[in-house]
Amino acid sequence: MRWVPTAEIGSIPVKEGRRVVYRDWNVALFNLGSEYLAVDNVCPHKAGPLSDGIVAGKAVFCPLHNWKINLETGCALSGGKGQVKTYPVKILDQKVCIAFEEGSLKEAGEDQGMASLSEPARDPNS
Amino acid sequence: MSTKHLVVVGNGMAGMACLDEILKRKPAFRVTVFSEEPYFNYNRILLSSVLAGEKSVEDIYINTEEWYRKNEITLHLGTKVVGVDAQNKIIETDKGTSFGYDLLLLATGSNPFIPPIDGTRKKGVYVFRNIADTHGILEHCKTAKKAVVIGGGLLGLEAARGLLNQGQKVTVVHLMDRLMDVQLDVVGGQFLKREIEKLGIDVLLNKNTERIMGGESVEGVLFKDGSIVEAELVVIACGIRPNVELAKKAGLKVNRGIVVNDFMETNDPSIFAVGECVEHREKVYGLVAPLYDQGKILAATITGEKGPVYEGSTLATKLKVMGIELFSAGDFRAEEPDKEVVAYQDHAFGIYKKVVVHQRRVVGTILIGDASDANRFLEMIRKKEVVDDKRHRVLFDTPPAVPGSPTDVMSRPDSDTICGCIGVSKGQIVSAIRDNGLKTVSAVKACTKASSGCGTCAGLVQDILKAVTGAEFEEEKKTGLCACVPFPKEQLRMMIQTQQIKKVQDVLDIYGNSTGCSLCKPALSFIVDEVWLGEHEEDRSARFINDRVHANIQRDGTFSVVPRMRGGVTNPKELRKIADVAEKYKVPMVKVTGSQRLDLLGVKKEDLPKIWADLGMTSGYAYAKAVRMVKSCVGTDFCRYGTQNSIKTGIELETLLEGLYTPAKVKMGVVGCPRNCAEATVKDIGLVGIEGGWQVVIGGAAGKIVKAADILCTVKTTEEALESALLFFQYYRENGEYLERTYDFIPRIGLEKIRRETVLASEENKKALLDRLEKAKKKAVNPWAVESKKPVHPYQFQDFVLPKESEALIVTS
Repeated sequence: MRWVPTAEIGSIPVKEGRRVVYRDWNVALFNLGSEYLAVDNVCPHKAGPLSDGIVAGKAVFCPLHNWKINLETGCALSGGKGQVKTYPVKILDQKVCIAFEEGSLKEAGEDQGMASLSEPARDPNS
Repeated sequence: MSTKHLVVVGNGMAGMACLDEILKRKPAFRVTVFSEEPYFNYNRILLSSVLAGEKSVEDIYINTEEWYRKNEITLHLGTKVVGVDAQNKIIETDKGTSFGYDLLLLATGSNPFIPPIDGTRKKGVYVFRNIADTHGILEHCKTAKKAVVIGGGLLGLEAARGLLNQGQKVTVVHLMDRLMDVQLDVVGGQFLKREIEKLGIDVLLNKNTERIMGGESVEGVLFKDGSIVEAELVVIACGIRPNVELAKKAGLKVNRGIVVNDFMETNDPSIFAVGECVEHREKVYGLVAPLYDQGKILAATITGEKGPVYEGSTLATKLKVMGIELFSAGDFRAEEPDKEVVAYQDHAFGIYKKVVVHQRRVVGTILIGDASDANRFLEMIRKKEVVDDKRHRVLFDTPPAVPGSPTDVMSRPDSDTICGCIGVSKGQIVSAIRDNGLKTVSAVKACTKASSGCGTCAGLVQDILKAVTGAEFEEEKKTGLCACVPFPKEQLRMMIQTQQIKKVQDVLDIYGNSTGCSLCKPALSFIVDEVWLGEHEEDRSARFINDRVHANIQRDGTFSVVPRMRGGVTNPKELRKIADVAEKYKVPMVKVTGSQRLDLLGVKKEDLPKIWADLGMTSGYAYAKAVRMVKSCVGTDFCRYGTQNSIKTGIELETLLEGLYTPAKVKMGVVGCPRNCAEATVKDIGLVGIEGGWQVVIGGAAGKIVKAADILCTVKTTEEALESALLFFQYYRENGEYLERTYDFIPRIGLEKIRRETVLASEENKKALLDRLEKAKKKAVNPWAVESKKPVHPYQFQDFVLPKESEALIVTS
């Protein structure tokens, strides 16, 4: 795998995200405290910057219209249907590295990505 | 007169009802209350409804934080009093702290009685006494299917009902030959058993428990007769014992309970006791009505108005288990030969009515299946009414009430008691509704205390309210924060304060689901901030992006910058700076906003601190739940119609309030005459200049909804107008729900109440409001000035844009 070093560890506050731009990629990188997760920084709803959203467990709420995206699968959990790509992340040499070329749409589970517009989805960690 | 320190041990129904009676007498007391449970005073009787899933914990609070605050009571939640030094008048807590007292009120209640059998400590064995027990049982119900309730008394049957609702197969086992043997005779017991069994609950009588079986977890219950009932959950409801531990330490005279005389005094002149922990004329009471009777007497004694005496209470029990109505009161046994029984039995309908007559008067009753006559009989028992002339029809005096008909209760005389626990008559409720313009059941409850006891009269109270208010009647509104943290805001604020919680994540970990969501995290941030006023470490990750970077996010992910322009007034120097910044940072658009300010749109996040530094202006808070602006017209300075100096007043108002956070955004306007050019009457707070004075208006809106503001007051001077605006502003800050705009806040609280507690409040209360506002104002900073130099986090405004030629490390795994 080709791992591209991005932010130094510690440069993203815990439970916050930052935008990482590399060539044509625009990725939202999150520090969850125990791990880093990366997804496409484009909300499936109206392309909102997920990197600026509020993190709750392993999900983020888009700052524009509050869609909730699971950061492990990329699936929308509430708001509407949709999915964003997820990217492998690894810590190497005190740097958070992302394998941009390995970004993928993971297989959605039965209960994920199926939330309706009206009912807010349950938190994946609760 | 010197202020005495009254310490109340116990935050339960008896203690707080008594304290309420004491406070009504307005004594010069300083009051401190210790509560072992970490909850406000709640209605213990309704725990069965919580177990049955019909009510939430917040539904059963009797007094919320507001009551404690309003009465200036210092409340120590989650603090147990472990020692009393009666000689030196000092109590000691489990936290190692000690407090002196002048007067000590023990309202320590009861402990559940646990029979001395083996196995009561096994996993899955519960008592049913408090909120923690209830939560424990509910949690255990998720994995258990078969439940046994040991004890067929009032509490045991309530527990059985709740467990049935939670999907359990329930068996009630009872030591005696009939259920509720304290309240029922043999025939009544048979009726009740049949009705309970119809619900699908197994009832086993004459069962003496030998031990609770199982390994670490409960597996069953073994009886002395050798029989066994399987169980994955056991609730012990074998009665209660007065909690007299502390009284003994204080050296008080204790038999079964703490011994008190008819004035509710113990043998120590500084110590009083009330409620279930008390023994009066050799009687201990476990029901709610006697506790209130005692409280009223004690209040007179303790405030130096000793005189009224407590002579014991008529015991009355009302139970409603899924449709089975049951009522028992007074002496219903009729064991002595001179007592006469009038009875009616209908086995097919499950109806049993019995009245005991002694010396021409009704002295006791049992009603099963139809308790609609309960209050009528209770009145007869209390009034000791001679029933000679109507004895032949005493059981069926009045035609049966038409269920659900709201006019029914209104046909009763005004003197009729509606709430038997507290003693509130129909007339008192009707006049409270009329005099105070009450519209909700909770408002009636707060005002009259009716239905705050056992709650069975809540339906009657609602019927009266509906009949009196007609179309104005309002359903109750739910106030829990959100599904992640299911507590009302007032309670959260209290817990955050008393338990010194300074981080949003800690609140979520302790009282929530630990993850939170985009609704509760900002709301909790607001509450924590409001409580600690900057004396805490702000968790910026819990804030919405706008509050993290002090700018308003736009649809393309860029931000907008709105500098403060007080009263909508600017000058060439400011305009020049704004123009320079717009050019230097290639700001795509500069727009005049609806708030008489300039908006720089399309700014990149990383440019924000640089732009703030270059501007050197104050944040306009256009992105936050905070004071936005004061819009003004030109007023007497230039306008030929102006009657007041609206520009100067507008700038002054904005200067007084800028930088303060509020439950929702606050927009303001000041106009010099009623032509209203700056639209002050559709703002959250508006000042409208009139000939010789100002009108202060509140709660207007011109957004999603359009609403003209209500007049708070009309005043003569600009100083008075500003003070009125400030009073309302701070009142809203303290009492508004997060995201609740003033136009929703005012109808919820009521304009009259707001007037009473702001502009019409006592000078002392006004000063207190303004002092708290000033304190918050002193802590307010211009975030642009602070964070353009030193961001909260070095990478607060930083994104990571990698050079195209960034090298990749190639790793094989």
